[in-house]
Amino acid sequence: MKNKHTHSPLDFEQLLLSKSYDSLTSEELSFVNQEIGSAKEYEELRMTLISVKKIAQEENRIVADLAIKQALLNQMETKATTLSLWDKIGGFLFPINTKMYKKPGFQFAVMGVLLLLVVNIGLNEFGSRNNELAVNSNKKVKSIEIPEQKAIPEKEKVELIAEPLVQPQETVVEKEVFVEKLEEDVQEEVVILADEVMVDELKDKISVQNVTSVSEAQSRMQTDFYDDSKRSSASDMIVTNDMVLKSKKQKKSIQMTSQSLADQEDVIDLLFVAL
Amino acid sequence: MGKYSSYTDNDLMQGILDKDTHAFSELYDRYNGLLVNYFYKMLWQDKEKAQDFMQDLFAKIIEKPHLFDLKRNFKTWVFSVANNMCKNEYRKQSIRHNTSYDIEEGIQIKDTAMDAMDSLQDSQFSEKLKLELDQLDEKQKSAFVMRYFQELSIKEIAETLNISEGTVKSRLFYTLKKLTVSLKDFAPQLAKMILILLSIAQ
Repeated sequence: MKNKHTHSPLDFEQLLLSKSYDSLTSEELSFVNQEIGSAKEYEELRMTLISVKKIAQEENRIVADLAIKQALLNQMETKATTLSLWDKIGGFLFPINTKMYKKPGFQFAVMGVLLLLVVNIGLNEFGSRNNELAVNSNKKVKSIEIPEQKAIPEKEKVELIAEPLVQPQETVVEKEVFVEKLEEDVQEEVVILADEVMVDELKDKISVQNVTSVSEAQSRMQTDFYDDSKRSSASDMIVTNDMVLKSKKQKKSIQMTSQSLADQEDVIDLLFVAL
Repeated sequence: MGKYSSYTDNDLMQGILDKDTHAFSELYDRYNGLLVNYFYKMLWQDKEKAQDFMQDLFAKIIEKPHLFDLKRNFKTWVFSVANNMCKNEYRKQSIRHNTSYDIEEGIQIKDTAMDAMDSLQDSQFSEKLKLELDQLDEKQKSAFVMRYFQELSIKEIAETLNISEGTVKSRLFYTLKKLTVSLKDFAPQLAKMILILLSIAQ
């Protein structure tokens, strides 16, 4: 372990170049034996390394042709003179041998700043006028609105605020109630009329008695019509049917929801047949 | 031009970014020799190829100097670019080798026969070394050439190849071992001569 600290297995070069196998210390010897193996191999390595170094030092180094340097310098000069677009723009705006105030770049910059100031001042002026206009318009609106608000008493105000929330619901309910009432009235009227006619005039002729609903009356009338014994009372039935139709029309004109269209058509057909 | 010699590599690169031709000239003078020899060693001792590659590299520096991060070490950066160029060339060559395998194999047999005949001559050690270097794996070769022919430090090689210093040392050690096996008929004689000369000088 101690050997590894003093001589890294990789630090062979200095050892090979400076010492022969015989002159190695015990510490170095143990390292050499560990890494290289034998004295013969160590000496062979040493001879090779020395020879390589000697050859490398004495070797005639090749020299590049001068034409290469000249060609490269020409290339460099061409590159230096071939300016890029930005270089051209920079060169135009800021020429080297001119005074600062004469440089176009500087002049453009000054003009730009002045333009900016003028535009900025102009915008500020315009902006302040706009503000004034805005203030005036607000004042006018207030002057119109305030008297109207004052004219309304506080109680009415409360009602006005409350009304829009309640009114739509109330109107719907009212309409529904009204429709329901109409339906009931019509039904009652039909029943009353049918009962009166049947009881007073058609008591013995037709079997349409105690009609409690329009559909029942229709069905009964239909069955009676096909019955020959009861067909003679058709003229009387017309009265009843006319009344039913009248009530139906009333109902339809008021609500148009209580009976289906199919029923209505059936009744109309029946009436035509009866006629 | 005198003031440029005192500039650091990164200062010169900044100059190139500013399209300073003198800065480029100074940088070229500093590195053209190192790079052309590196390419020469790495690319089968082909001088023409080495010069072409060196020129291409400097042309890249002219055209795209912004690719260099001024916070980095220029030397390691330029060698890493050179190393990548060599890698690409190896790839191209490996494709060619695959397509003309028989021809290459024939040449190799001839070379070994010739080497056997010349093995007694110490003067041909360098030639043998070149051949053996060309036989090495690209990773081992680049580290070895950088270390012993371009004299880059272990740290610089590590930065150039983007590996740890330990890996660089390990590669160098195993490359040396490999070369020792293949050059053992040559190296001892040359090394002995060197050692004798050194001992006489001392």
